[in-house]
Amino acid sequence: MQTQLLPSLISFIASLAAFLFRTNAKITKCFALAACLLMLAVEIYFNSRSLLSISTILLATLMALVCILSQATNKSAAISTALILAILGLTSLFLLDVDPLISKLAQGILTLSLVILSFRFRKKNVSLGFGSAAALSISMLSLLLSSLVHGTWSVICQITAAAVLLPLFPLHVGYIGLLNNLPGTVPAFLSFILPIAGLHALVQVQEIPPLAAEFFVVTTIIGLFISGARAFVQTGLMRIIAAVASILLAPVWWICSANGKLGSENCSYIIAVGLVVAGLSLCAHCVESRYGTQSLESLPGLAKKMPKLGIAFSLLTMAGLGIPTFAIFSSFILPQFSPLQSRVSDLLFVSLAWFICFALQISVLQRLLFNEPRADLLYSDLNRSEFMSLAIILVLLLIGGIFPGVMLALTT
Amino acid sequence: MKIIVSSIFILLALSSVFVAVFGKTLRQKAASVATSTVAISFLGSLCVFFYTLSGSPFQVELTLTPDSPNWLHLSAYIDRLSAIMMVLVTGVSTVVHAYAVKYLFGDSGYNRFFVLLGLLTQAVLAMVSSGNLLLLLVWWQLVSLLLYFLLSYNYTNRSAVKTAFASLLTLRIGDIAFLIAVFLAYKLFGTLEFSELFQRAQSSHLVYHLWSGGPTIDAVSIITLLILLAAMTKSAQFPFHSWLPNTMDAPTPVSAFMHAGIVNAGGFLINRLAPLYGSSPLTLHVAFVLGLLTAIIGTAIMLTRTDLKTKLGFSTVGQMGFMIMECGLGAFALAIFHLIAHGIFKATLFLHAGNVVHEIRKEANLPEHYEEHSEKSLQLPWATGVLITLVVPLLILIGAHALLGSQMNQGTIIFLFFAWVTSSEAIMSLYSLKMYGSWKAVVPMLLAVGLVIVTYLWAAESFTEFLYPVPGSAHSYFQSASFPLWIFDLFIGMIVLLFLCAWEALRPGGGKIAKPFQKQTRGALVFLYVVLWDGLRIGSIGSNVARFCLRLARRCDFVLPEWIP
Repeated sequence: MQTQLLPSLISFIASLAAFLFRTNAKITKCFALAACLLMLAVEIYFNSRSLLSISTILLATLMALVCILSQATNKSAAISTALILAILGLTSLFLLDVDPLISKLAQGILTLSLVILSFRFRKKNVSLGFGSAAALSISMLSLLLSSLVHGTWSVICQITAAAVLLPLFPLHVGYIGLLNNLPGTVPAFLSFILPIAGLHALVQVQEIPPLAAEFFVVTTIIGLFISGARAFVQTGLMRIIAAVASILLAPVWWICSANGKLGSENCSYIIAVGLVVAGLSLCAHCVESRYGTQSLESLPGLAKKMPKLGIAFSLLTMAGLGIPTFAIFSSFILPQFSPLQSRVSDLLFVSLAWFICFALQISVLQRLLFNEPRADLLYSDLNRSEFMSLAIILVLLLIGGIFPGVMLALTT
Repeated sequence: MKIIVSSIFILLALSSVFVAVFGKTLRQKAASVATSTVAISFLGSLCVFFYTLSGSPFQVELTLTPDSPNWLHLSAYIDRLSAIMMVLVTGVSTVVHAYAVKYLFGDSGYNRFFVLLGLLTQAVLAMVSSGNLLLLLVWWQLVSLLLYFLLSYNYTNRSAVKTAFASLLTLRIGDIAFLIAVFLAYKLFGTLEFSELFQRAQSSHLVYHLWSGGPTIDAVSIITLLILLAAMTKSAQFPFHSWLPNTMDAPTPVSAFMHAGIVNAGGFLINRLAPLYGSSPLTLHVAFVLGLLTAIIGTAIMLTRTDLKTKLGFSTVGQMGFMIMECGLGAFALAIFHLIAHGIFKATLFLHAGNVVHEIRKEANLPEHYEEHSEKSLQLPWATGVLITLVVPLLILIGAHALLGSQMNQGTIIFLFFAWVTSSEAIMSLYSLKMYGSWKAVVPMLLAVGLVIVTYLWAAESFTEFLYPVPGSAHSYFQSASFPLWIFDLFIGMIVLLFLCAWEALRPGGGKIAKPFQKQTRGALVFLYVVLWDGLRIGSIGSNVARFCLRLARRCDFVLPEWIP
């Protein structure tokens, strides 16, 4: 038990250290990276039998490393590094399932921290910030209630608590708000870790009540259209990416309502979506950290001036479109061809979601990368660490796509 | 032979990587390396083709992970169909590569172009040699995306970017239909391996409920209809045809490769799944009607265009319609012959289009003044027109029916269409050369038409045997595509009547029957010209739908509070 908790402990200590030494950003970054590497080593040495059977926690640690790697070296970046490490520690505790009480406590603290964070960093978009805080508060209350009540009500409360982490309309405002407002690369990390945590919470639910299942069908369809429609008229890069993420994750809820419960075989799809969204969020962070804005209208033609970003963004978009050789396609195809899920309605819904995502992603790609660049801006391409972090994500997506066995190993 | 096939794929992949890595420093040399690699692949494809002439089909397996399920194994299935497609694709790609080395030299995206073209060539090659339906879907999707990146090659050009997006949007509709078809095929027949799938589909009488308690449709028909939708989008069939002629902002080599190679994918797909299509008369009839509509619309719109590249674009639409129509009549092998011939001549035309435009610019007398088209010069000798466009095609139909009728059934109607198209082209050429009055020009033209038709007849006979050597298989496709004889007769009668009316209206000085309707006829012709010039308003309908959706999205964004994202 002690060895299992070791990575979380390292994470908390590193987070505290990062916060204390936040004035020296360079040292903080090095220290955080070293902590992540140490956690990875501990994970591999104590918890995994082979590299093939990499666990979600290992992947989460790797993503934390990637997000910290692409951070700038300034004071606010040090704070976001500390936040990433703290969230990693809490999520690891929650995902480990060492003890039901510890797990529930970790979920509660994680949600509470997210409420505080969304309230604290609400300035970018106040309405979204308040909406996010409200949704997360509902999630926390539901979590509390789930321990107090029994039977169907307990299940409904558990599902409500999970619906913020694994975005479901209308509670997806929690997820979208966090991704929009939080500083640095925290949104990129959250976009990867929250859906996994949500899935973990949902898998605990034995069977979803039929009425709730019907409700999911309605909400996912409404959510799909509303999120899609609103995203089409947005200009903020991160806002659209968050909407794409919530649309890409909608099929999970659909399958959940169709099957009456959610199996861990959906984990590989959620991880694949998480990787894509995290990669796109990192690109958005790189753009914002350079030009102080993410507005697609004010930053056209980046492909010409930032070719490295252009290539990475295009490849990530391809992965997000569900193009073969990337993990989303494989992780989606694998469950579809298994005898477990073989309904045409599932496929039609997924196809519709993919089509909306495709239109959104390609329009973002065109508005950001194509057309003539501005003459009044000094452009600078990705630096080595940023490029490295995006390359790691792309390699992970390719591994998942070409060797689906690795993704399958995650579901066992 | 397996080594040659594997080497072709590996070489092409390595070449793209080489250009991507060393392109910046080596510039034109890297492009030459890419061209040489494709040329070597062409030679390799020729070897494979000659091998398949005598040997039996074979499969090349490449297993990436031992634990992955069977359908995820990369495999290439090489038979005569895939071998001939490989030769076509690598051949056209070699020419396009060689052309682009100098044509695009100095362009800022020079290396990117060769990387993308190399990858696209490889994707198309892998698609035509896919070992199972899932792999075919995988490569099919990759081709769509790579084509998008090539179409938006000039990404600073707003118009190019916009049309590339519209193209991808159309192609994705087909991709999704294909995905659903693959899923259904696996669900209903339990396999995606071609031979097993065909066997199970032919012996099955499964019906599929469109929804619970709703109408039923046989399983093979629904799968083939969905795949037909995919083929329609890629082969620019009506109403998905707009994307193809709108992509003229792409560089000439891209247009050449697209028109000669990629749009043929629809015809190839139907041929690859011929046993499935042969089991579904409904889908074949749908394909025939859609192909016919596309052929008429594409060719008619082409006649209204004045710029060379757009004219070629619509010509491709018409030809693709013709190809799908051939498939709809069960003449699968003929469709392949058609796509090869079309691929070669269209690539040549596109690559030569630039030179023609440059030459014309040097001519002082071109374009001609409007005054030169006097009413008198428009008058075509009536007998020549009727002879070429009506009598000769009908004679050809009768001849073809006598020669191949027992084998092709109503499929011989394709010769009538072919003769009409070819003779109309002939008469248009005579008109543009202003030589319709001279029998010295008309007779060689008639002979040329005859020669083309004889070649086509030969192709129908020998190409069918070449691609479908199993006795009775080709005949069964024709059988399956045949429709009731009265429809056949009615169809021919109606078109003959239409031709007669048209010629009566065009009679010098006005025909006796048509004279009272001269004003209405002229008005109808002007109306038709305007509608066709506007592309049947399909483009504007599409833009209106897009505008409506955007307005709806804006309204939704305005009405809903910010905290409901």
